[in-house]
Amino acid sequence: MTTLSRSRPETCLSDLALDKLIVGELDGAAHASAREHLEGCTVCRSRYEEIDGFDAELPSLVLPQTGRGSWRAGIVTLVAAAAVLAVVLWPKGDLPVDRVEEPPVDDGGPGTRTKGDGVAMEWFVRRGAAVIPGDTLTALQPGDVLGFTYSAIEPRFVAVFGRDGAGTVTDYFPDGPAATRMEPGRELPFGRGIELDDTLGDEAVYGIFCRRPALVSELRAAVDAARDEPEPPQGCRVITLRATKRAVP
Amino acid sequence: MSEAIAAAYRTHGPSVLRRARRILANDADAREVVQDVFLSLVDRPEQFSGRSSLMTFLYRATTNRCLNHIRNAKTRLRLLEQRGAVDVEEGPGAEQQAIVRDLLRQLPEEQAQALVYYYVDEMSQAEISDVLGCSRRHVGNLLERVRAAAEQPEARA
Repeated sequence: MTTLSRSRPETCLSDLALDKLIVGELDGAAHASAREHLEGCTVCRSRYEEIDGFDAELPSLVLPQTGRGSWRAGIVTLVAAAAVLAVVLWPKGDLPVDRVEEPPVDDGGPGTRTKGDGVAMEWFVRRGAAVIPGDTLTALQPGDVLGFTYSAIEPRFVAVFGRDGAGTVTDYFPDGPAATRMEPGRELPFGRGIELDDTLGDEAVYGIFCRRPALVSELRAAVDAARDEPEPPQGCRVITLRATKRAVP
Repeated sequence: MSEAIAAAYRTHGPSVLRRARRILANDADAREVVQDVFLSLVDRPEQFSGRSSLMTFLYRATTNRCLNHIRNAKTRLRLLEQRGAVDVEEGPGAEQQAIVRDLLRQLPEEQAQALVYYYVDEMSQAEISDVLGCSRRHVGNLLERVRAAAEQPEARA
């Protein structure tokens, strides 16, 4: 007679719970509870490390060329629910999956890329009475008010900067001298709305997420020193959002 | 292309591949399932409504596609021919994994899903009831039938 068995009791964390923890889908209370369990359970900790260290070698996902209308609505839903994006808003046809690269985090030496970093930033635009997800816009306009949300599975010290079409760098967040510590969570809004001026051209927003405290002045220096994407200090990661600001039609 | 799905593929794709490999014990089949799951999202994004988390949705989608794969006649024949020669390295629990695959070929859909979620993903019955959208009592009934089927080796021959 064969009896099926489990390696973990029902009171432990399932693979689903561990996967959600890794990608940042557990909210505050669930996240804290999972972390607390991991601290006291070697079986679950071992499974967590096994899952987090899984070397996927995903095949390239070649998607069919599609018109934008058919998937646009679905993508808005997916973005709103998943919140795992660093979105490049150039609306210029299709890109193969493996061209969209995340910048490396120098945590362990040259070329080190953090796996399962679990940090993401999204933006939204308030235009009049409408609130529009950033990735559905074809262009920004003067007077648009930018808002941001972030998702992270570990605490991070965060600062956000903008560079407008004239190359001017502006501190978006925080107002004080030090990068703000943000607790783990999913799709958490932060900062105040940033109203865009009438300088037209390419806009870039750089969200810098650091594992350790950092001065805004040091992070801004990294943005100032770069012609485009800043080189993050060690232990930090940059998420870049881009769009073009055009005159109101 | 959908940058949203590209990003979801990068962050969630590894878990889809890992689970598909474990259920199917075949890397090529598992990669095919990964492609199917995400291409299906491109084709019909409305199937993910956002009521559950994306990971929960992908767990369901992956499980369903793996079960369809197992039940496909050609796959079933190949698995039977290759019994004992799967190409995915199996560590501890290899015997149970073989029994699970045998059961997945023959069990009705809901019992097969319960088997995967309880014995492969090691979810609690409460989690399974959330994923399947049914009562905990129903999950308990499904698992009773799974255990009964497991205890009848002649049914798996």
